[in-house]
Amino acid sequence: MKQNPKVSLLFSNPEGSKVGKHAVLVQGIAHADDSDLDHGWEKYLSYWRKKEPYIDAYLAEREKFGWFWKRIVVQVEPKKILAWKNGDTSKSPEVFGV
Amino acid sequence: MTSLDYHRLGNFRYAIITLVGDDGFPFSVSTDFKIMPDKKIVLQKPAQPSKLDGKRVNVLFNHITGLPGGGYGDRRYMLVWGTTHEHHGTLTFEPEKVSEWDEKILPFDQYCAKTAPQGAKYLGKLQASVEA
Repeated sequence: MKQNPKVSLLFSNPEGSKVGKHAVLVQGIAHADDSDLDHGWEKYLSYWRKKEPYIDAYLAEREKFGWFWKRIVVQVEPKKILAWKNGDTSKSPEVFGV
Repeated sequence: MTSLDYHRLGNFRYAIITLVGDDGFPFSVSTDFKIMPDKKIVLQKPAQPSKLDGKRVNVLFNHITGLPGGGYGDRRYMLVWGTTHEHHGTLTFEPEKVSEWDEKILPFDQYCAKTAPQGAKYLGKLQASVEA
């Protein structure tokens, strides 16, 4: 990712994206921060907990899951966003940020 | 190719096609699919990318169920590499290689333990390329 930071994120599953049936593709530049694998991600824990409340059970036994808690933080700087209303990808998307 | 379980594949509701665009960015788009009696995988052709004939792509089939208290269950995916072919407006997908996970078959912690050597191997190769 450091060698080739061009990435994309697709939000297309209403169960996870919570944006209805719409589909959104974000293309951008990834900035990977691996300077502190053990603690660098902790400032984002509240967001993670909101999405997956049971994460606290793993956190309580942090020593048992050493591999699980080593995390690289990746921030994506959006360059182009494509959006398909109602998730209808048979039609051309709206494009933002070209 | 690694064996593809078409019965389990048929339990997914949609597919995500991903390929690298001309601008170098990955381009992903969700679409419907169906499995024909002869096991051909037919994808509904998306408006973009406009040209998919002969393209090397990966197709992700995935599923999650939101849990009432937050988080997700019934997590599963099949990530299939292969080639797309267009013929008379029909887009077919020729699978070549598959990796997958289904938490009902392999619980998350066991999945992590099983794939740890694969991860270590990948990181080892990555480290070598970084140092080169």
